[in-house]
Order: sequence, then structure tokens, then C-alpha cells
Amino acid sequence: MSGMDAIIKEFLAESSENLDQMDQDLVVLEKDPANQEVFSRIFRTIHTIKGTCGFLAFGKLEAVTHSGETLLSHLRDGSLELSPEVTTTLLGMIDAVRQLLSAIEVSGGEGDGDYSGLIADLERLEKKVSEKKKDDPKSGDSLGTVKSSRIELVPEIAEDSTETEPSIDPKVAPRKASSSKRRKKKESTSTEDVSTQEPVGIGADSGDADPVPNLEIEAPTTTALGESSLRVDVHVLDHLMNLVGELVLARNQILRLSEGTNDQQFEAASVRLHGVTTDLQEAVMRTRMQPISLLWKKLPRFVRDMSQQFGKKVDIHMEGQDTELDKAVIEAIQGSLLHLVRNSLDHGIEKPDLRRERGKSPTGNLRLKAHHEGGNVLIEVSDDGGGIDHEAVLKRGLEAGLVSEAEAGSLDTKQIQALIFQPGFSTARRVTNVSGRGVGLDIVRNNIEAIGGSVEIHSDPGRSTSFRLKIPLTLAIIPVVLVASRGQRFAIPQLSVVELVRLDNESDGLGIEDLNGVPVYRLRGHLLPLLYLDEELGFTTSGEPGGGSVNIVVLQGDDRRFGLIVDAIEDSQEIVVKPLGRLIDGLPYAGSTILGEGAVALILDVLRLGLKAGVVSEVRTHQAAPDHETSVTTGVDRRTLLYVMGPADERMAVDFSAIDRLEFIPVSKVERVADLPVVQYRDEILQLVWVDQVLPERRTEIRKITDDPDLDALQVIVCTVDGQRIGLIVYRIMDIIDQNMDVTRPASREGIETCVVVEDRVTEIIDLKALIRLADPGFFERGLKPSSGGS
Amino acid sequence: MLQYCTFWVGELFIGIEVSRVQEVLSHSSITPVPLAPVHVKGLINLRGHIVTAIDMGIRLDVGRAGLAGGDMMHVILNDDQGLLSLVVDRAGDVVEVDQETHEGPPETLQGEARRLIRGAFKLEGRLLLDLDVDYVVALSG
Repeated sequence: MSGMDAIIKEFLAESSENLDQMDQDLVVLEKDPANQEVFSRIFRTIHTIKGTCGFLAFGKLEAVTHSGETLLSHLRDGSLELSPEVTTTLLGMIDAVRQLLSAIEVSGGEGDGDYSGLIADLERLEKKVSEKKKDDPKSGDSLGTVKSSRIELVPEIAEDSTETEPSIDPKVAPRKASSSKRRKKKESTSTEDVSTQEPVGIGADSGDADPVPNLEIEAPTTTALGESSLRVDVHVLDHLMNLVGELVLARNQILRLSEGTNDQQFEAASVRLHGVTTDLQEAVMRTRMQPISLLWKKLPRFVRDMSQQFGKKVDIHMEGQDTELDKAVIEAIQGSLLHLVRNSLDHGIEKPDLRRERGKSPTGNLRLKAHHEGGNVLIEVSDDGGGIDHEAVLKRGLEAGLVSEAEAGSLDTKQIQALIFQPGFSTARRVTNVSGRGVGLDIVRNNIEAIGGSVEIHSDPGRSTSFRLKIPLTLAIIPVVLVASRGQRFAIPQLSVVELVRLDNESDGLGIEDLNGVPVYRLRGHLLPLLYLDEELGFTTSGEPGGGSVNIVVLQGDDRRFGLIVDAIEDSQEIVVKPLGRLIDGLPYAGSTILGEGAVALILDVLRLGLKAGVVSEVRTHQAAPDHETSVTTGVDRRTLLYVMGPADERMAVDFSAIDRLEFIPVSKVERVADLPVVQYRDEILQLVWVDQVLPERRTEIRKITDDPDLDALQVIVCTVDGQRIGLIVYRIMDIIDQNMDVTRPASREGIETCVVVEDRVTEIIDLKALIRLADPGFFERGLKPSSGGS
Repeated sequence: MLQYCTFWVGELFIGIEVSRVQEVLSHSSITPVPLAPVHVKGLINLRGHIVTAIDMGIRLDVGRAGLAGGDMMHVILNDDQGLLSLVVDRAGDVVEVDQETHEGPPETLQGEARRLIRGAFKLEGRLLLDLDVDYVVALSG
């Protein structure tokens, strides 16, 4: 019985591959009905399935494929045109075959699906032809034979392809010289036809001899590879991969040993071992690699169906189909890729009428591109549709509570576009039932990030949208940075590492500012929240980090950057990812690995570490995509404030969420336009506000920022208020604090929102809008309507 | 007659059915897992497999803070979910026990140990405590 099982298994595997190919072929055929190569492939696929299932006694499957085959034979002899109706019916047949196959795979039986409707459809289409062609003896004949027995069809193929061959033959049907390449291709396919037919005939003629060779003949969907490739169980490859992993570790051990020896022969041998192991590792990895076309070949059919459903016209273009990815990675990204394509079809590409109105061709274009870059694969899904409608996105963001009214005005393009990745954003669910399906782009992002990849979006409103996925080649071996904390080594996946920073004796600018438990480092003007790895891992803190220097690993977690302070950064290397041991759950580790000398090291899960410490969800650095949801919920009783000191030691604070950057601007650069201070800043003119002049210190003698004799550069907080940039000149930026807002006092003057007590000092929180109005009453009116504002 | 693999955790003389045990070995290098429950002693590299080591001293709550470094032994269990190591003080022999001599856990056992020990075999001159491996494995997380 096991022999039979193996045959069925083989049959299922082959058939499902062929069906995928057939989906693609039918869509091609619809556009190019004369393509004989594609046509014969379709015919062969169905024929083989039919032949084999007859042998395996799958009656339903045989009936369905039989009707399909009959219809196809009419298409082939030209008595039936491939109309959209016919294509749809044939695609329906493929789906039915798939259903049956999966039922067989699951239960061993054909299930209780009813395909009589489909068969009736197929026969109806077929009858149209046969009635029309009743007089034609040849067609009538072939119909009759088809109905009576599958065996008799076989010589028909042979006959038919010998018929088609001469027409392809350049001598008989000469074509233009330029098509010689094409011709060659066709020739080679037609020879393939011939060579594959014979065994089909034998297998089918003898009826029940052995269907296996019969099936193997179908492999030539991958033409030339057919002969030189063989099927290997994935488990064998997985095992091989594990063994190579072991070998890599042993190699690392040997290399380490060889470093400590003077034995030249040993050293030479270990260098050789190193080389061979590396090659072997690569070769084994390659066996698990599959071209991305495996995933993409489902798409033409998918796009066809979807675009019909949406009433849109879409051409799909694919580049880089040969780009290879690890099998596991392909499986992991499949859903996300489909989702992005669906998203483009639903929201991106416009309906033909609208496209015409916008001066575009009525047929939209969906492009998929893939290529290798470094150790990653970049996949781009782009369309030339309407792009992302910022207003609609903002509106939806407000509705869904992802962003507050106040914040909405201050978001830049990138931040608005990032909103569509927020959980709960999905606009799709309400409009159509096709996109969505309960999955939003947030899930896509999560899935991609789960395998160490990233998603970016670029949109040109009105013109195009493109999603760029960056995905690791393989999941099993990854490059990491090894760091040490309290003498223990940890691995950090290099994909999450942005850069490594080493601070010596705080000579670097302002160094680490640490107050109220939110340490930050000012990295090139951006505020980087910091975590101490030893504290995060629960090691009890001991005073000084080693030797006055500080190592910061700058990490990217969920769109936000943060710095991880470690005792030492050791080196970077490739490691084999192993699962964590049993009973270790819910901790910030992504796995484990074995290092060169055999010791186990934990791989840090950067995102989880950041979440655990709250830097990822709570402290928002505004240069990255903001997470409005959390800022709304945490905004009730806690606020993140930038704490500043005035020239007379008074304390003020600015809400952190409005701040874009902190800058030093030389005093000499400050100019005056219409009596307002401005500075040239990044190709624009940035208006400035002297906070000490608008809100002077009231109690002591008046001191001004400019009274400071050592002053050469001004500290400027660059903010966005109601969508407009402005710079606040302050005396001294002190810190970022996470302030509890439950004890507040009302403001006592204009320009101040409220007062809180920070470290026993009354601190005024600046009301940015009011402050700006005090300094320049016309600021907002001027900015909002530059053309018709009248000023 | 049943075969039991024996070991000591503190003063306790404990046995596990031989069929549950893959091997017993001494192993010095162990990687702690910060933030894990206290009885997770760490991870060891067993010929390329990462194995979680459970500190039986803490698990059984024998009244001292964990096991000492150098002398500890690993009793490696193998079941359908993979490998797990029980870190114990000292390994004993494999002994044959008579099911007839099995009786309830001694009254002197307290707390966690009382739940983990499902009974005892009377050997000549001493008691062999019968460890409920399934319970250890299931609740060690």
C-alpha cells in the first residue's frame, strides 16, 4: 500500500506545481492566443492529471479534467476562440482540480464537493462548438474519441503536434529574420513535445503499468532542468543544513585553537577546513534556495481575477524572477506579498475612467521587482495608481484615533504615509471585502519584521505607490554583532543594528544625559533614548561602566531608534540560529547560538527588549514614525517634556511630541526679516522666537540669553506647530523627562499652558501656539494661506 | 523489576526510570539566561543541541541557594518535546527496584519536594525517592 501512497504523493506534488504554471499560462494565453508553446503545456498538464487519476480511481477528478480537456482540444484545433468566458471557466476548472487534490491530500478521498455545475459549464461551451462544427468530420471524430476513452487521445497529441510543428518550422512558414530567437525557442519546445509524448502514450496505453514515469515526464515545465534535477525531501535538506551548522561551529572551534599554536601544518589544515566549510555552507544553503518566481507565478492569475472583480484593467510586470530566497523565507513572505498586491489593485490603481481623466493609460501597471543587495533581497511592489491620498489617510487616522487633531497638522509626508501601517488603520474593510479580509498593512509589517526584514513605503500622490521589502536571504544563518554585558556574551542581529558609537570620557558633545530614569544621548542632534543592557537583563547595577568609555549599539526597533549600552562590543560574525531551549518563554531573546569555543550565547530580540523597557512604545523620537496610539493613551497622565533652563535659572518645558530636532545655531547666523529673527536652515528660512524675550523672567533682575559672555552658539529647539516649522531659542536644554501630570497648577501668564513641579522647581510648560502668537501674531495666517492670506 | 537511574540532590537520594534518561554527564560550561525563572540554571551545548538545564536544588527547594559550580552533573531527559537537563549534585548507580516496595512519599518531605516526589522505594538501608518526571517537565516553566 505504501507504494500506492508514494505514487499518490508524487502525483499531488507534481500536479500542484503544474497547476500553478497553468494559472499563469492561461492568463498569458488570453493575451496571446497564438502561443502554441503555452498551449501545449496546458493541454499536457490536464491530460496527465486526467490520465493518472483514472488509474488511481479518482472518478470526480477524472470527470472534471475530462470536460476540461475536451474544451481545450477545441481551443487547440481552432474551433473555439479563447474568450474571457472560456478562460474564466477553465480557471474555474483549475480551482476545482486544486480543491479535489487538496481533499485527496488531506483525506485520501475526493471529498463531497459537487462539480456538476462546472462540468455543465464546460460542456455547454463545448457543445456550442460541436453543434457548429457537426459537419466537420475531423472535429466530430476527435470529440467522439475523447468522450469514449482517454487512451485514444494520446495519438491525437502526437498527430497534432506534428501538425503544428511544420507551421513553426521556419522553412514552411518563414518569419521575419528578427524572430529567429523566438523561433529557436519554439523549435526546442516542439522537440520537447515530441520527446515527452511517447512515454505518455506508453503509460496511458498500457493503462495501469506504472504511472510514475508518466508523471516525471511532466517535469519539463522547468524544461532543461528536468533531467539534471531530482526531488529531495525538504527534511533531508533541513537535516543537512543542521549538520553544516554543526560543522561551521566545529570549524570555528578549530580556528580558535589554531590561533594559539605555532604548528604550521595544523594552521594550514585549518585554513583549508575553513575554506571548504564556507563553500559547503554556501552550497547547502543554495539547495534550499528557490527562485521568487515560485511565489510570483501565482500572481498573474490572482491579478486577473482581482482586477476583474474591481472593474480595473491591470498589466503585471515582473523583474528579477530568478532572484533566489531560502525556502523558509519564501513561505514566510507569501501572504504579505499577496496582501501588498491586493492592496495595490484595490487602493492603488484607479478604474479605467478615472485613469483616463487623469491623463493616464486606462490600463494600470503593477510592477514587481526583486534583486539581491548585500545579504538581503529587496522586493518592490509598485503601481502607477493614485498614490497615497494624504487627506484621506489623515482623516482615517483621526477617525481611528491614531492621531490627535493637534498632531495631525504637524505630520510630514513620511509620517502620514507611515500611518497606514498602524494597527487599526485599515480603510479597506469598510470599502470592499476583498482587501482587508481582516488583515491590515500592520500585519504585513509585523510578518516581515518577524523574519528580520523591513517594509518601506514611497508614494508620489496622484502618480505611484511603491512598497519596498528588505528581506534576509535565509533565516538559519545570520550575521550578528557580539556584545558583552557582565562578562556574558549576547548576539544582536546585524539587521537591527544601525551603528556603533563609542564615547570616550564624554568628550563627545553633550554626552549622556541621565535624569529621572530616561537617559538619552544626543546623536547628531537627534535624541536617542538609551537602555543599559545589564539593567534590562536584571543584573544588579554596579556603579561605573568599564574605564570611562561607553559603548552604544544604536538599534532600530519598530521604526524607532534607541541605543543599547553594553560593556563591550566584541566582534561581528555569522552564527547559526538555534531555537531557545525548552521552558524559556516570553523573554527578550530571539534564539540562541553556539559560539566558536562551544559556549552558548543568547540572541537578543531587539524589538521585545525595546518594548519591555518602554523605549519603543513610549518615548517618541519624532524623526521616526510616531506611534500616536500610545502617545494618546499615555498622554492622559504622563507627558514627555523637554526641560530647559532660562538665563535667570528659571525652568520651562516644551512638549516633546512637537519637537523635530535640537540644533546649535551660531549667533552670527541670526538675521532679521521684517523685524523678526530668522535663520537659514536646511534650504529654508526658519523663523525664530527668543523665548526669554517673549516670556521674560519676572522675579529677578532681567537677564537675557545674549547676556551670557561665553555665548557663541544658540540652542534652538526646532518644532512643527500646525504644520509650520519654527525655532525656539532657549538658554540651555537640560533633559528629557517623562513627567507625571497629576499635580499641575494653572498657568499665570499668556504663552504658558500649565505649570508642573519638576525636581522641586515650578516649571512652566510652554503653550507653543500662544507663544508664537505673542511673538508674531501673523505667523499662522501667513503660513496657512501663503497666496491669499493678504499679508 | 524496574531499573532506576539514581542521583543526589542535597541529602535527597532520587531515582528516575532509566527509560526516561538519555545520558548522565558532567558538563562545566553553562550559559545563564537572564530574566528566566530562578530554577532555570541556564543553557548547555550538548553536541550542538541547546538544552535547558533545570536546577533541581532550587526546584526541589532543598534549602540552599542552588548548586555549586564544578561538581554538578546533568541528567539528560529525552522525550517527544526534546531534551532537558536536570542539574543534580552527584550521580549514583542504576539500581533495580521492586515495585512491591513502593510506598507513599515520606512524611518528612516538605513543600515543593512533596509535590515532585510521588513515592519511595525501600532499598537496603535507605529510601530511593521516585521523582515525578512529567510533573517536573510540565511545570518547570
